[in-house]
Amino acid sequence: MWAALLSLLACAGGWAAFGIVLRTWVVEERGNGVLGRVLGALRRRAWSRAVLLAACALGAGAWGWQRAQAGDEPLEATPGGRLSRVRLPLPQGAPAAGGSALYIRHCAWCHGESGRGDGPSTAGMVPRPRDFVRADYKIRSTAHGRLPTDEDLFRTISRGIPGTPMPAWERFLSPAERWELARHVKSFSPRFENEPREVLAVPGAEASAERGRASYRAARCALCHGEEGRGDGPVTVTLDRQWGLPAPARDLTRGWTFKGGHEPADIYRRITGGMNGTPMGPYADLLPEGERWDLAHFVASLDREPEPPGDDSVVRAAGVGPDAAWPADAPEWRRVRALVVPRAAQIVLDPPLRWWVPTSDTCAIRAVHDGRAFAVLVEWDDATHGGDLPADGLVLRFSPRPAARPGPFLGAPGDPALLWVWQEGMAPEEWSGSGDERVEVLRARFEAHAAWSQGRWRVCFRGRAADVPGLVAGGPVPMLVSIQDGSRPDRGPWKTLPTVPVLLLEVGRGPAAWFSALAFGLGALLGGRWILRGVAP
Amino acid sequence: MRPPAVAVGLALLVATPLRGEEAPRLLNPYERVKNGPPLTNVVHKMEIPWIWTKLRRPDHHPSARMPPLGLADDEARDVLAYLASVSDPGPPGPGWPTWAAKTFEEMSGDEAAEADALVERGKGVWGRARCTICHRVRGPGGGAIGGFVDLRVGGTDLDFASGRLKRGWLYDWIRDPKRYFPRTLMPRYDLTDDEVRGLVEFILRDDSFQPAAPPDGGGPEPQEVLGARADRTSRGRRVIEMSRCVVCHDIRGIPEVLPPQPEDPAPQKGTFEWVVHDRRCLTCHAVSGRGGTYAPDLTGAGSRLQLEWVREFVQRPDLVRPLSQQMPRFNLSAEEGALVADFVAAHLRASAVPDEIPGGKPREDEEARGRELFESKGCRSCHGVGEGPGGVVGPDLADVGGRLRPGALWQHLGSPRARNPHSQEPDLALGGDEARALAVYLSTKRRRR
Repeated sequence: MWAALLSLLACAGGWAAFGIVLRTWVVEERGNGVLGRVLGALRRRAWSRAVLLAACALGAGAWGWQRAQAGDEPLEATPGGRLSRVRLPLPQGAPAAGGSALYIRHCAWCHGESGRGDGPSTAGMVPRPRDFVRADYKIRSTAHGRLPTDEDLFRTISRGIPGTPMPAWERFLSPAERWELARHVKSFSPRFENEPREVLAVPGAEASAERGRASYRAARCALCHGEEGRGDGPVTVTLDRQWGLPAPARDLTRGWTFKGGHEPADIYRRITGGMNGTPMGPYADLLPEGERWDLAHFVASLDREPEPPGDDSVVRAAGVGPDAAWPADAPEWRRVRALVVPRAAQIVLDPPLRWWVPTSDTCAIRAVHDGRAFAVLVEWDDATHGGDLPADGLVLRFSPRPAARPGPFLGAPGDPALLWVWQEGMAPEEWSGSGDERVEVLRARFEAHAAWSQGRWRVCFRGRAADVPGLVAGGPVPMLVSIQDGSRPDRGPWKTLPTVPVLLLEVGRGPAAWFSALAFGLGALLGGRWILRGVAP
Repeated sequence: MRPPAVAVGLALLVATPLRGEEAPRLLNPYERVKNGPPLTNVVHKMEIPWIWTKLRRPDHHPSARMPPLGLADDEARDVLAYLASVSDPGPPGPGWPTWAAKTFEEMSGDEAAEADALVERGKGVWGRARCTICHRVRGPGGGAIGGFVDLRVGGTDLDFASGRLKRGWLYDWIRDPKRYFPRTLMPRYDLTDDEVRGLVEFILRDDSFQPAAPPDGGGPEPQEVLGARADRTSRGRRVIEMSRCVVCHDIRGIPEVLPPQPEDPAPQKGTFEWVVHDRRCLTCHAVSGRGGTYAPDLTGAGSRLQLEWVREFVQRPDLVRPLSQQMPRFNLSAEEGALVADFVAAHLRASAVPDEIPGGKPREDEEARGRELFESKGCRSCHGVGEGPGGVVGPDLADVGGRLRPGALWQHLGSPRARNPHSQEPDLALGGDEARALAVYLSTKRRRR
């Protein structure tokens, strides 16, 4: 807001000075050459010169500040380390404008342009729209008097408030747009910047879930669903890999994939009644009612992806210190926001089919950079690795054409591709391709580190931004993430691919950005003065 | 190399049975839902320490494909108790001589001689029945079905048989496998009582079947398992239900979770379908896409094979391909042999195979020309013809006229990969008259019957 005010001031001052100069030029300096006229005008009106310079300086300062604001937000610890859609980053390049335009278009009618709940259609509206400036919210998961969490705002925007004029916006707006609006709503109150917003504990459910953890063990759920619930238990893996009779157990960490709903009541029913025709038989006679409830609460507590991934596609590499050489399984990565992207089937020409056997339907991508080096962490679920299975692998494919859709995987003449290739148990390789037959294998200029644990791969690539064509701070580069699962015939085109995200090294903020803004403004002031002195007699 | 499109098209034609003749619906033994054997009478099948070991550490056996269940010792005891409680009263099988329980060292001279003779007989049966096609014994041999066809159905590894399997159960199993496991891929061999006893003694006493490692100790005593109290068996039942053992095994008294399988409608005795079902022909052969891939595909066999040869071969299989797999001896009766031959000739027909060599009756000079061609084209390097030198890579041709119908011979010579795209036979691009001459010559190669 200050930046906008400064810009406004600078703009007004600049126009005023320009007007005065123009007037002087036209009225009083008739007869001289064009340059002579301007300089004469400036000489005569010394005060207007000062105004012009001040406008320049103010404008530069405001620009610098905006640049600084455009940087990433400080890294936040997500509660409980949840890898969740609700923590996904929002587009920040022009977020305020986008959010504000959406807000004006969809929200301001009731909530008012200034967020005071006094929009043009509120006459006689009962209940009154929320006053965002007062920031007093009814629907929260936090303590009384506290602010709601981002998830609370998102949920209310998405689902609306039944019985009021507030509609469920999930019918009209994409998740990304709804997140933008949640963000904009927060901007009406400075309290959101520093007040804590702890989620209220639900002791009954939590204690129940804790008891359910024991039931999960006693009822031998992990035999199929795996120790951490990723659907990678020994029975599931053996039936699929050893016998070729897949009976996939649900990955309990992804609520949005539960076919019958992921609320505790849904889960309770599934446990009690089982699922016909699958190894998931009924537990009605095996576990007492209370234990089934505990189990349902425990299963609900495993859910880390309650919502399906949205249409965000920007992997924002947050600026961090130069010591961010974290291994793939380092806890520090948890603090970096993840972009969860869906993986979808490829259409294969020969044989004609749609390749529909993804082992994991999403992958999570995180990235950081320190100005020179950058690191990308990709996580995906894969129940098996090693042994006599073909190797698992990961390929990051960069293309130097930022705006274009990525061309053929191995590039094409005139459309080169740079591939960073990691395969389990092998040294990383760097491929430079300009066509299927024209792939050059280079010495890898990056490091790869991989860790597999409880059915999940975490693979981290670290390299220099300068080695990736087109990758400069602030400039997005398409980065295709190709995952190869050795236990599936994932080869060549026979694989699933995620939507193609772009990698964006965000402009760092902090002292450097501030100094650069200050220096720019000061430089403009002094430089302008010097030029004017030089031409003055 | 991809076979030419014409050959593929021809192969498709050949694989299509004649219209109008309703092909019987043969049961595909590979279509079964449960991988594991039934566990209802497992305490009669295996010695308790081995079941105990398998339950606690499925990977104790190197090629086991049972998932580790992580059972605690107490849970394994309970499971054993439940399995014992749902078993039929035992032990199965016939009575055994007193020496059966002794080792060779403990036997008297007469007993040892008797046992030795039985073991020798069993060894012969083992070879004739070609047990190693399916069953892996220690070392590289065997397991062909498991390796070749489909990972799901490999025969049990037998290098742990001795000391693990129980004598009475093994006898009953070999006698009639389907009584214990209706959906097994194992065929029934019509063996005599003595032959079965021999095979049992051979498997239980020969060194090749000795376990490489002993079973785990610390398990329950048999009395403890067989006479377990009700609380123990009900705990065992609970563990079995929670561990979802019924996904792979039939266990009496445990409710199913997978869709119930319709019972095999057992074919009527005395029909071809019954012979196929009883002897599990489709474990190795396939007809119209149903069955295994270890042995030749029999789709259209009736148009290719001589009726007489089929009748004889299924009763007493002879060597066809010296270096390749051989058919086990199933001891089919003469009536069964005739039944099979008649059925194959009548129903397994392929319209694309001509009955006779096209172009009229064979002439004398053609036979001589064919003999010449046989020598000049180098056929001998792979095939023997019963006279003079001959290779062993391809089938022996001494009786090829008795085995194959002339039309099929002619067709195969003209386009070797028409029926079997993977055939090793080189395509010599014979001219029409050359193929005819060669076929005429080979049709004369018949053994006296």
